[in-house]
Amino acid sequence: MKPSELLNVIEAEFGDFILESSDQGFDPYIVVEPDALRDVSFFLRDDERMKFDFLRTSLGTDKIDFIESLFVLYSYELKHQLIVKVELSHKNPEVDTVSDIWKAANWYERESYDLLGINYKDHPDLRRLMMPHDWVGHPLLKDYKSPKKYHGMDLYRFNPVLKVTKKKAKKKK
Amino acid sequence: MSFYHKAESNFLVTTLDEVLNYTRKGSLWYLFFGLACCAIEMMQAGGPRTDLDRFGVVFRATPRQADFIFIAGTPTIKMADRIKRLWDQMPYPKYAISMGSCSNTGGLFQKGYSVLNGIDKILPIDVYVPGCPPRPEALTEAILILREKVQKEKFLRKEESELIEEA
Repeated sequence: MKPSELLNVIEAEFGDFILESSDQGFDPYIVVEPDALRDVSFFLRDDERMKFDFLRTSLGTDKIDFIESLFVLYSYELKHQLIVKVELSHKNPEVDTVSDIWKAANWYERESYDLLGINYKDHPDLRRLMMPHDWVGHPLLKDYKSPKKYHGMDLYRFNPVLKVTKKKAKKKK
Repeated sequence: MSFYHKAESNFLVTTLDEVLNYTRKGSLWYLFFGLACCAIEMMQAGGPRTDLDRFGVVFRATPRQADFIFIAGTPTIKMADRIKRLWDQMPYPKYAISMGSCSNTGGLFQKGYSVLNGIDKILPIDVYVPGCPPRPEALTEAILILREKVQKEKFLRKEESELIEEA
């Protein structure tokens, strides 16, 4: 199906829940209301015209105004691709899991939880994936500050080159 | 044939330290442990071209049989605990060679949130090898330096408590 037709079908089905959609970029995308993500996902997987049977990848981004979580979907049968985006607030980044709809989402959601702190509700195993289990904070948030120490290890290293360049910059002023 | 006649060509006067160190430096075994791309270069150094076997440097699969360890690659914060654990399992006398920019200072990934800025934060290093990654020749040089260090050491005169303080 062509991207424009694809978006028309989805908008006809979930008109109110689609906040934004476009087929101008590299891939067509839709921005979905967080509460409707599961319904839209089921529709995208099971509907005869959609048949998105494969979750290519899932990403998270801190866009300062909001946290974005996106899912890249592909249909092996109908050979079309779609990106589903969800915009979440910084205060309460919470959205329903899709890991039972596409199994591949399990670890992607764990990664997004680890690095951005997005809380996927009803996820079967929401633990940190990459950082140590007792780590504090979510490193890819823009306002993140790394700790000075971890398990007695000093995480700061003096940089002699940086000091020299700073001195030179002061002299120039 | 008298005793002196035999002794002329068969005696060598030296110290016990010298002899022990000579034997010790001839069979330095290292722990087969790699963290990142430097490990590939470490394997190259063990290959036929810069044959490490000629120094008696052979890899061991367990820290309990190893004399020294290559820190070959980027030590992440999560891995640092495990590296420390391997180091603690090695018997004395033990040495460590830091291989490449990443394990020296954190290198390219120094500002990363998950990277330890230099392995010397958690264990004492005897030889630092610069490079990204160092060539096998550089690694061979590091082993020659380590051999010199082992030869000069007065290991027998050290108390156990001293050794633990050093490490």
